[in-house]
Formats: sequence, C-alpha cells, structure tokens
Amino acid sequence: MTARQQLERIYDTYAEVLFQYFRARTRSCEQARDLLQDLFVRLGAGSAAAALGDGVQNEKAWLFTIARNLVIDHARSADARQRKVHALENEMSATGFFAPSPDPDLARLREDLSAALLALPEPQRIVVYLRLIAGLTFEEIATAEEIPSNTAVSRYRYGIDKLQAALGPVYSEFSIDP
Amino acid sequence: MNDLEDPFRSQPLRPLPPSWRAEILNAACPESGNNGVSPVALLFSFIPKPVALPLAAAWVIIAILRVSTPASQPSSIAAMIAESPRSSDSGDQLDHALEVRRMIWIAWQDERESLESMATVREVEREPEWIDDRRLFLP
Repeated sequence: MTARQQLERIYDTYAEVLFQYFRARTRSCEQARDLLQDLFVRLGAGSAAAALGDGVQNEKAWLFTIARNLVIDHARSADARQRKVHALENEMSATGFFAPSPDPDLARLREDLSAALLALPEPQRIVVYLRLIAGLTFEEIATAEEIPSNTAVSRYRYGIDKLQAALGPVYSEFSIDP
Repeated sequence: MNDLEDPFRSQPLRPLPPSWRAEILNAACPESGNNGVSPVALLFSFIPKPVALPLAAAWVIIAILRVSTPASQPSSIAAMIAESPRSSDSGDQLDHALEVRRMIWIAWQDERESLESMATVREVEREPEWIDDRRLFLP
C-alpha cells in the first residue's frame, strides 16, 4: 500500500471523528478544518505508511496523540489565539457534532447533545468526546492526552455529571435516578 | 449512566464536505512520482526538456568540430628536429646535438632572409608614392 493509499484509508476511517475532535478542542470549524489538513500534511511528510508499518500498535490512539500535539502547537501561535477568541464569539451556536436529521425530535436531541458537550470545560469535554464519540478506552485516552488513567476517569465522571445536570431537566430519561 | 452514554454513541457524526477529501489529501500527498503514472508517461519524462535541448545541440556541434578539424602542422624547426636522424649509440649524442644546432641555425637564417626579403618588397612597393609626394612639393 502506497503512502497515498494509506492516507486515503486513514481519511476515510477517521476524518470525521478527528475533525470533530479538533472542533471540540478549538470550538471553531475553521480552525478544525485547518488542523485536519495540517494533520494529514504531517502524516504525508512523515510517511504515514512507513510509520504505521513500523509497529504503531493502536492506530486510533496514535492519531489522537498527533492531533493533540498539533492543537498545542497551533494554540501557541498568536494568530491562532486571536482567531480562537473570534471563533468563540461566533461559533458557539454553530453546527453541532452530529449529522442533521429530518426528524425534528432527533435533530433537536442532537443539537442539545452537541450544545451540552460544547459547554463542558475543555479537559472534561475532550475526555468525554474521546470516550463517547471517538470510542477510545481510558488507557488510550491517557496515552493520547498524556495524562494518568485515573485523571481521565475522573474527568469523564465530572463531565458526565455535568451533562446529566444540563440535559436532565429536558430529557427525563437522562435524569439522575433518586 | 448508560442512559446518557447510549444517545451520544448512537448518533452519527456530521459528514465532512466531499470536496475536503481531495483538497486535504492533495495537500498532504500530491499525486506525483510513481503513483498512478503509466510506464509510458514515465518514459517520456526522461526525454530532454526544451531548455536542455540547445545545450545538448551545442555539445554535439563542438564534438563534430573537434573530430573533423585536422591537427595543426608542427613548425618547420620542430619538424626538422623531429625528422632528423637519431643515433642509437650514446657516443654519437654530441654529434647529434651539434647536428640539431646546425639545423636550427640554418632554419633561423632562412627565416631571417625571408623576413628581410619581405621588408624589401614593402619598401619597393612604397617608393612610387614617395616619388609622387616629392614631385608635389618640389616642382
């Protein structure tokens, strides 16, 4: 498999979840798009095919580790900080993480889930996103985010509690059982 | 807890615009090199480009001129020395050296005579002009 084919496979498998990860990180579609392209440019420059052939055990965790480093690099530039402030003002109520639905109830549910997730503090938001949407285990989250596993678990618990608090009054099925 | 996790997990993610795929992949890994290039196209890539053609033509012309141009003739003195007989005995080396010296002397004399004769011819050719000038100023 050539490097190009390897990149195409990675894109087809992970592009959406990586884009939404960047969006959860930056809260900006524009920056998420730039970061997604930067990620693939890095993969292309570093020959993703060679890297994956050299014993990357967990492809998904490896990609999210690269994505996290990319976000950190990106956030260091003054330009990115300036755009982030601008994006926070404009894109808080922009399109959600999930696909639109013709069913109004489902569409409303998806919008509310996205809004509740975006409202979480960043450390909890990232862990909840990686666990619930990207499907990583706590060990993989710990590797990708370079945090202890216990920290990942505690951030997840706090995040879920806040989601329940936010969504419980609207959706009775999400209410905390007495 | 599962009541909250399941709705999140069951929702499909928003699809990305289809145009992004080509844009991002082309930025990451341009379709060049051997990927998708037919062998014939690869062969054509080795044909000299127009920029290199004049340079190649210049080299061909230089090579043809060099092969077709005869080597310059050796000078008369050097030719005489080269064609003079050489003795194989070491005792005759002095005679050979004297013979060479004599031949150089003769060649030099010939050269001087030819130069003198050329100068005489030039003076003879200029004389009518001098006579004409004298006639103009001395009636």
